[in-house]
Amino acid sequence: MSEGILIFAHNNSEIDYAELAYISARYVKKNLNKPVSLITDSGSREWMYKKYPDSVEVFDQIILTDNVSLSLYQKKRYYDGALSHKLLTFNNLLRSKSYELTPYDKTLVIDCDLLIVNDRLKYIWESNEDFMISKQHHSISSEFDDSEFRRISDYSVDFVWATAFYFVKNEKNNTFFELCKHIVENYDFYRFVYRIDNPLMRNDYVFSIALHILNGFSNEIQPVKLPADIIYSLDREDLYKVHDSKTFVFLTNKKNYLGEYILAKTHNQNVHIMNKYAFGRNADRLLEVIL
Amino acid sequence: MSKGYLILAQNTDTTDFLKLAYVNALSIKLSQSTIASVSLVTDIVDAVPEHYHKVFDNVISIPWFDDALNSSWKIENRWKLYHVSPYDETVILDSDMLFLTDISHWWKYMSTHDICITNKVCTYRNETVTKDNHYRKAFINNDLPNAYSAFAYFKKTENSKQFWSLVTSIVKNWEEYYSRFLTNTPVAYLSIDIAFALAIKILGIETEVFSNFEYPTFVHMKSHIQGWKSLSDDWRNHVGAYFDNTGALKIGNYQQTGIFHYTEKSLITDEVLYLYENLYKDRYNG
Repeated sequence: MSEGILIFAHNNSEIDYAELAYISARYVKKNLNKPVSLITDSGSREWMYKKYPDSVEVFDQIILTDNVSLSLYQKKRYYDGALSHKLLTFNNLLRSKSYELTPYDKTLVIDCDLLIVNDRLKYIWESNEDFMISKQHHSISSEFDDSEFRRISDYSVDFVWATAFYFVKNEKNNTFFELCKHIVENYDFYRFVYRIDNPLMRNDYVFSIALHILNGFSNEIQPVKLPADIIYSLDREDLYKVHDSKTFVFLTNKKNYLGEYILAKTHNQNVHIMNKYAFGRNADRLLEVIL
Repeated sequence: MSKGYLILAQNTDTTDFLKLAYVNALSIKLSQSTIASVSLVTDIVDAVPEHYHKVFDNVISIPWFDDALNSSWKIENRWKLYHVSPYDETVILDSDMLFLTDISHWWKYMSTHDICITNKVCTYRNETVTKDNHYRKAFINNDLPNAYSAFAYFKKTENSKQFWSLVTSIVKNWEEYYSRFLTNTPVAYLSIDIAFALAIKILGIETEVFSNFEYPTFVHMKSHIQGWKSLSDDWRNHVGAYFDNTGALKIGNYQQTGIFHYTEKSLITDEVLYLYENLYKDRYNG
């Protein structure tokens, strides 16, 4: 059975998602030693080719989605630290099509802003599980109230992170992704029923709802957790320094002091860097240390 | 050995507890595969409607004097349940409960005890309530065992008799017991949960009467233990209750299973009553 990693990336007017995907691919290839494929659009691909000509070799396959439906464009507020943000186009809902887009039988899907810096996820390939996803990632800030990531709303269902998940192609998982697509297509209804206040459609919400439904509208069966923890740094935080390919320093928010920060370091931990601007600012350094 | 459920129901000025007990009994008859006998204990046997009699296996009059005559909560007769139960093994229930799926297998485990009392309850999301700082301050601060009398099993044995004798004494002399044992956080009213907890504590039988398994348990719909940030006392201000035509119940986004203790009595509308009655008629040609 073929095994590989899938990353989605669609640039907007300011964020070079394809660049993030390229860097993320370099890290995951180094640490998991598996082929990586990219799902993108032709514009993002051409821009990436210009900037990183070797991306042709980095990616096993580059799959274009210019004509794929569900390419819904939303507006999202992109933060760059606590005090700066912009409203930009956000095209990130093709995740529900992972099943039909992946070229692999066994696929690990990761966000393009996730840096895999250790090899703990290698155990998924030997596992008997056919689907893995985590309900809990860990904030880099000990002061952060993570309740928004515990449930999709106060009265509703548990939050699962679509940032990273693993699936094997089989009938059961096909059903899951078909349901995800149905939820995306009828999101206004599901947003109402699941009491989601946030107007932005997130893959996390879609996956959370789909898992809940397939579990018989209950928590009785918990999804199997990925065999690696993931630390997240919010977009209202900053990636301050890249020491080496495993050690990063972040500026985390100081509670009740907007715009003031506390330093925090990660070492040998997979990190989800939600501040895309910060990720981009550190692109050269992130590539320099991985060489 | 006969086994069954026993419900004490006395109507108050505001609530038709008899109706709630009747719907509870209907839900038991519809959901339980083996043990589905239900008996009613009430002060108004003559006023119990004829069609209620068809559902309850026994309708029993509260013996002796009605201790709850001047009470608004009407729990003062609970101690008599031990004496009037027609079963060798009994589970006492609150009226405002619904059985949604089969829990018959619990009896096998409960039968290994003389007494087995619920000590953990769940939210509508099926999460165990780990610490109830809102409704159970008196339990926490006075170091009382976490007993819930809404679902409690007993067998007619000497140990059980001793427990119920002490419960009787506490119910009849609750102010005296409370003044002695509830010194950290005083409570100004009789509570059967507290009476059970005190009896367990005084007899030192916590390990014997509490289960190490996940059951017995029930979904307890007290608003402040559901894990919500914003709150009102009535949970229905936050999540909807949706019965389907099979009697299954969803609360918010969650399918309910096991036993559902709804606490808000007006959940049982006439529509819900007719739903369960019709399901019962369909099942038993009644």
